[in-house]
Amino acid sequence: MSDWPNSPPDNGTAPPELSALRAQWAHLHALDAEPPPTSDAVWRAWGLFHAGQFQQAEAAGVAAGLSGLSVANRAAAVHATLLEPHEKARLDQFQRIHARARAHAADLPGDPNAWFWQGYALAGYAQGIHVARALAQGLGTQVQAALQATLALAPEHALAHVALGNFHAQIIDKVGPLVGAMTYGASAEAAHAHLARARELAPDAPAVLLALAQALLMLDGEARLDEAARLQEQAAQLSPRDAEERLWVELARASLAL
Amino acid sequence: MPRKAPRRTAERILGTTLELFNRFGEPNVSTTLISAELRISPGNLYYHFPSKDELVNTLFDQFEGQLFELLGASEGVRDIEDAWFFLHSLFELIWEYRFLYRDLNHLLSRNRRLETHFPAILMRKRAALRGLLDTLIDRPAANATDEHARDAVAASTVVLLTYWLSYEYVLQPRSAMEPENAQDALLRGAYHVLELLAPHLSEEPRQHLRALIEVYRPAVHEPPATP
Repeated sequence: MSDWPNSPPDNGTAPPELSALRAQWAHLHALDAEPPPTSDAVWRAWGLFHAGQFQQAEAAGVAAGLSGLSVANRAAAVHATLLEPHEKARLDQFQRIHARARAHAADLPGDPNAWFWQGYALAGYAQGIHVARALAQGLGTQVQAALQATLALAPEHALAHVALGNFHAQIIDKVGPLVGAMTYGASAEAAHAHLARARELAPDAPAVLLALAQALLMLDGEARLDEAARLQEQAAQLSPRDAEERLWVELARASLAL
Repeated sequence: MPRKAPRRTAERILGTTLELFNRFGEPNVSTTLISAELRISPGNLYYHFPSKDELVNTLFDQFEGQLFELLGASEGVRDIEDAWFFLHSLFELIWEYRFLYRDLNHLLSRNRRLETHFPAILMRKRAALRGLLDTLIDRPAANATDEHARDAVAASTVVLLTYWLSYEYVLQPRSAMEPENAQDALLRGAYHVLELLAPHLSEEPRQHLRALIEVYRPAVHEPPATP
């Protein structure tokens, strides 16, 4: 795997004991429908991930083979989304995740997260190069197909609901409701439905609350400003379950303090 | 009423970005620098603005909105003092978003939004300045030649407005874009535009303009070029 040049050192804590991780698994993975690992190597990779050692978690996941690709991709996605300071490096990371997740889905088409990380990475890349340009390159349908495939396999995948709702909101925001609906099948109703489902499934996840706040402003603008502000405040008050959530809670707090 | 948190955060990010773009030039300012200046994480910046282009586009939209509003006000110009005030306001707005003008060619070559919108901005400026010229001359164009001459003056004025800050920048690359130079740079720009208009005016407004120019002349001397 390629490394992360110029990335800040991961300031994670010591990974949790495997027994503690096993006990908390359902709680930690309420959002991504990831089943408990079947090998110690993958358990260890997830331990590194939840402790915030994202770079090491990616390496350990890749080293563990096919069953470690979900943790590798999730770790790289957190880094690209929240920590990578350089725009170009960030786009490269999204592309790397996408390529790896495609290979993952080709080998294991029944794994919802093989599809999810494809869709997530491509949506992140599309946003980074501008959604309108990404749509012109045909990426819109690929993002949607991957996220819909995730939901077909795991209807309660909260992160897929929020990613799909958010992507529809971005399409509508960038190309308008008419072109968005005609060309990409994006509708405000569908976006709201996915976002509402995500909130039901994950009422106390800071990443979900922040994505919701963002999508509401894109879909309805000033009319939903109060609600978006409340969601952001709610995210800032949550107690993080792991290192990734701590980054989201800190983001919400820093935004409010700005 | 205080601004709601999500808007306030986005505005703070935009304000700091504008300041950095204006001082150092958009090509020299990375998202890393912007998040460091604001003391927020890269993720926080991306959460609000997923790319630097998004920041450029949002600032450009703000500028375009304000500019069109101001150009609309040119219809209210009745005399040379109004014209002076109008041109000064135009230069002030350009100064406020000077990063767009400082690296215009670079931005046009890599930002589709600017590439498609900026020609219309120049055409709107030109139409407004042609209208202003007609008001100051206070009689319709006598014939096609007169018509063309007025169009040419309006076009020259737009070139001056658009590239005045580049001229200032070439003369003083290290300090021209710093905020303390704003007042002088803007006065000089407005002065030169009015000098360009002066020969085309009828006797009374020309005298009035000459008087105005005399008042400002001490302030409008160009600084010596600093190599």
